[in-house]
Amino acid sequence: MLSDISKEQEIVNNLKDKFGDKIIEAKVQSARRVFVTIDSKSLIKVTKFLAKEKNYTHVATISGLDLVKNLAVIYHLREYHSKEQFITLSLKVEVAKDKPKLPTIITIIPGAELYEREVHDLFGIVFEGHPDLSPLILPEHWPSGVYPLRKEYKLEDIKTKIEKVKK
Amino acid sequence: MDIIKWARIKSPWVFHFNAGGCNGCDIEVLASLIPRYDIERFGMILRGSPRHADVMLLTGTVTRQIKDRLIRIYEQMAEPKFVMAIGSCAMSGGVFQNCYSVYEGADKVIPVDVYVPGCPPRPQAIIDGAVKLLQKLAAGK
Repeated sequence: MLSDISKEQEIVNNLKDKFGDKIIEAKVQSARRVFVTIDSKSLIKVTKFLAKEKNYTHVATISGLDLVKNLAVIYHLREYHSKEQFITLSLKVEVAKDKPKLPTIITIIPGAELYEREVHDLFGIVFEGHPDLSPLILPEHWPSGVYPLRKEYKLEDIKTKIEKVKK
Repeated sequence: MDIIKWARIKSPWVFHFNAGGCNGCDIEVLASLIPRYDIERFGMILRGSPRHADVMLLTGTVTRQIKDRLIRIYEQMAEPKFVMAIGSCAMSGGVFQNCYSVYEGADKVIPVDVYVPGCPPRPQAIIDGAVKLLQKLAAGK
C-alpha cells in the first residue's frame, strides 16, 4: 500500500545524477518522506531545480538545528501537484557557526520569507539577499546578538542580558 | 454593611484577557459564562472593555512581549480592581516555565487576587475561584 517508494527513489536518483558530489547524503526514509543533505554552496541551484523542474514549490517550514560545531538549516519542501500523493523533501544544509551565512531562497520560493526571518531570530543565521531580517517573534527590547535556541546560551545568561538592556 | 461594599459584592463585572496562552483556559472561561452554570446568580457579567470591569480573568502565560500591554490594560481598569489568574500558565508559567520569553506567573507583573489551578481548570473551579474572591471582598479586604 504505502510500500511503493519508486517516486521517492526517482527524485533521489534525479538529484544524484544532476548534482553528483554536491549531494552529501540522500535517502528515502519512508513513503512520501525524503531526506537530502547538500553542500551549502549549491543550495540555490538545488532549490531552483526542485522548484522549477520538480514542482517542489511549497515550503512547509524551515527549521534550524544546533550541531554544536556547526549550525544546520532544514528546508521542508513539499511537492505540489493535483493528483498523486505529495512527497515531503527535507533539504539539509550545514553552515559554520562563526560565519553563519546562507543565500536566501525567497527569489525561488517567496513563501520562505517569514520562516527565514524566524530562523534568523532564533539561530542568528544571516540569509543574504533577504529584504528584512528584523526581529519577527522575539519580544521587543530583545538584546541584539542573543539567539535563544543556540546551545551556548543558558537561560540565566539570557535573563541577565535582558535585564541589562532594560537599564 | 456599607452600601458600596454591598453593591460591589453583588455585581462583580468581569472581562477576559488572554496573555499568550493556548486557548484551553479561554474555552473553559467561556464555558463558565454560559447559562448552564448561570454565573449571573453571583451578579457576574462579561464586559468587553476593561474600563467597565471590576475583575480581570487572566489566562495564559504572560510573555515578555505582552507584559507592557497587560500592565496598560490593568491600569485602564477602574479602582477597586481584582485579578483572577486562571490556569497553570497564568499562575506559574506552567509548562513554559524557564523559557526565555515568559514570566513565571502573572504575579511577577501585576498583583493577583485569586489563583485557579488546572490545565485547564473546569468551569466549576473558575466559579469557585470567583466565589472565593467574593468571600474575600465580603470579609473586608
